[in-house]
Amino acid sequence: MHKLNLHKSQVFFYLMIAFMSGIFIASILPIAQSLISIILIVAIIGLAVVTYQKTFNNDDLGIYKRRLFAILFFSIILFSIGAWYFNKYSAKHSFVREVSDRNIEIMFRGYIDGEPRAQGQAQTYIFRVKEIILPKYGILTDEKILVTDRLFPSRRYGEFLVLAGKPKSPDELDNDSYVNYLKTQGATGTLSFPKISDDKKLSISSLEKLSINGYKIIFRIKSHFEGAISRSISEPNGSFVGGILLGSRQSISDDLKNDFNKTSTTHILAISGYNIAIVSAVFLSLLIVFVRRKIAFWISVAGIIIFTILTGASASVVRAAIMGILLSSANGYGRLYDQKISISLAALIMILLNPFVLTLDIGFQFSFLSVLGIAYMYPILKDRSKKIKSPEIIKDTLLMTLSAQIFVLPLAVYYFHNFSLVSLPVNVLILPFVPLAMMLGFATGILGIIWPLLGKAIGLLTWALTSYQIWVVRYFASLRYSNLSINPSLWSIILVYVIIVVLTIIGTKSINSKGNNGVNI
Amino acid sequence: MESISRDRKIRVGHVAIFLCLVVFAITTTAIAKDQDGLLKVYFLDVGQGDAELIVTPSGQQILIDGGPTNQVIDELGTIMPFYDSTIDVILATHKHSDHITGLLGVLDKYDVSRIVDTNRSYSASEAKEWQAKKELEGSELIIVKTGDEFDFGDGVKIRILYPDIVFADYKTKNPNNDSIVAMLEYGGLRILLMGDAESPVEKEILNKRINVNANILKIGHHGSKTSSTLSFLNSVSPTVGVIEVGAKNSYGLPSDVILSRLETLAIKYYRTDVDGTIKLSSNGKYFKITK
Repeated sequence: MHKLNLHKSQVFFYLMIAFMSGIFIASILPIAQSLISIILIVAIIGLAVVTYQKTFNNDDLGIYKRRLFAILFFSIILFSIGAWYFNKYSAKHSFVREVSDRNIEIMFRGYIDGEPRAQGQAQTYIFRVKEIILPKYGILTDEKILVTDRLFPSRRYGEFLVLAGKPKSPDELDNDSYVNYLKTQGATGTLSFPKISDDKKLSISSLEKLSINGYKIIFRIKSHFEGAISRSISEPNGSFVGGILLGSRQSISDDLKNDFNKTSTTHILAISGYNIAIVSAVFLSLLIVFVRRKIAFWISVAGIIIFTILTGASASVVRAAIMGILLSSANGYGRLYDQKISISLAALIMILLNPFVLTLDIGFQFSFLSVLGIAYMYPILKDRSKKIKSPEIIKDTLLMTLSAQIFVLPLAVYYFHNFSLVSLPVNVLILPFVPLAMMLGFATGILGIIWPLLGKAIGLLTWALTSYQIWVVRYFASLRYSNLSINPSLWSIILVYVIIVVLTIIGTKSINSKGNNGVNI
Repeated sequence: MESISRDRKIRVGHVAIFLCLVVFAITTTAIAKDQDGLLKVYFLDVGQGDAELIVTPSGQQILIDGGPTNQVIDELGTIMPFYDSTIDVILATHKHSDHITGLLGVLDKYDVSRIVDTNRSYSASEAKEWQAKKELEGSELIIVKTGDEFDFGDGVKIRILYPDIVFADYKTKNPNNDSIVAMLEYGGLRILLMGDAESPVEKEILNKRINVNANILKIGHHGSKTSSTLSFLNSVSPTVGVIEVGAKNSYGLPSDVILSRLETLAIKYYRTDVDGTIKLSSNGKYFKITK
């Protein structure tokens, strides 16, 4: 009992959790930098004291105490580093924010750093500011702002422009969810309907130029691909296929989007870990015919990376790719190498890149919860339902949907005040055909580029299969009691999660005690 | 995530093939039922803007305007058969964004054989985009003028009542008054399509003593009081009027003045903001309107 023989990876896990907790606490409560320093110093002294040879005896109890306190103080140190990191990041100096306060017209030189999106009568895009020009002097910088521009002329990624207008910093805006969006995008300001002219002279590093040209090629391929799908598949199916393949949701009509929301199936329209895991599972099952399982797994990882780049490698897609690789490593190796470590490491990387995602990015939270659900709840449910005889595909789909939903649903209800009663039947009816629809859609796009007529022929099949899926979604969404509107408090949601975690731990222990080797907790 | 075993894949495949066949069976019956040899005119619900689709008895498709967004593509998707990716004629009445923006998306998605337009240019950026895209499409480009006539077979004709050709240095004052005004004829049925033409155009057409008498009038300029003068409505003397307008639009359209004018003249009117897409079908003698 008194022995504390933690494996190195366990210690690593606790330290990561401590660091992320620091970021989490700092992002919900303002913690003064001085307070962090004090905690840090106390923890370092504490660590020195407990690791000193003579503090504890050298018997079992002493070693146990020493290890326990060492880990405790180490965790506190990492906790404060996390809080410090968040503070540092959120107070990062921004020239855009500084000049926004002056309320004068300012010129921005730079380039469009993302694909413009049409939104009603306007288009929006992320603009990378390289130089801010004030009436008397200029400032060199490297920041992103969100620009709202007239719908025409249509802008393209990589255009070098000079924008003139009055910027607004996120702090001045009233709309909270919009401000959160800006933060998760890393944008330090917004600019509405600026005066725009071409910028032919802006000089940037050759590395940046190379990357812009690379992305230009990627976006061009992507738009050819999307165009081929759109010409080959009638609406609304064409947009639906674009959604499940590339996550492009803007051409899907609001009515249909609403129906997807009502039936809790919007997740198939976003590039999620689930979609990417499917792409790689398809890759894998094709490859396994030719090469060994492990090699096939690594090739499919390469496939995921290419897919990620093809879709423009936006933050949400990168996140999905990491999740997808995690899920398919379970697929390739039979189980995750060490689920706890790999999932939290993935989270850590994303949080380091932008600590705001932890509390502000709903997509980030959903992605992680669904992966956790599939990693921990799925094995339990599978074990419990061993005796139920039904076709594997239906059972697996049902169990995976159920396990991801159990983890995601409480938070989704909290955010959207909506509880879909038909989520499970709809998901079971359409999810088994998502991989096939993706494959057909992919074939339609590729063949459509090479030989439009063949693309249209395959497009008919894609159309038929996706029609079935859209019909199911529309039918269930039209039912009168398809969803309930509720508005639970944060505490009740936290309570629900505590119950879920406890049940998961109990369930996992009972599988392990039966001597099953499936899950490694 | 389990690997997809060969055995299971075949089973999903079987179910998928079955589902596809069911979908094909249901839709082809619906499409066959729709090919009833009638002329159909759809006044599409595209928000604050205009878009009309004409389908001739033999199935030729003529799209007049495209509304302000790509919503027109969803509307076309529900009307046109799923395998159909071509449109025979696109006609742009004038170059305001609430009429041509949707057409840009249509040119991306559909193969268009003929594009009908006036030579009255407009300097706004959407008009430039339209000009560039139109030239890239590879369709036959047709510039029309008063008096031109299109024969689509089966007795379906479109007559152009306005505008006249202008010189290349023409500078528009109000693009609405550059609108193509067209009469669709099929047997005894006459549908007058006004675009956004305002009262000066109505006056000019009346002065030329052109026969504007029609059963159905696509009310000019979304029911704004700049159009639909009393004398013009009297000359057209339609039984039905159609107003294409967006719900809660910021212009306050349609105007109450025009609505009460229609009511006094006992013209029954439909509005796309209230009724959604309005479908008219006719055999040349009778017509039927469904919402």
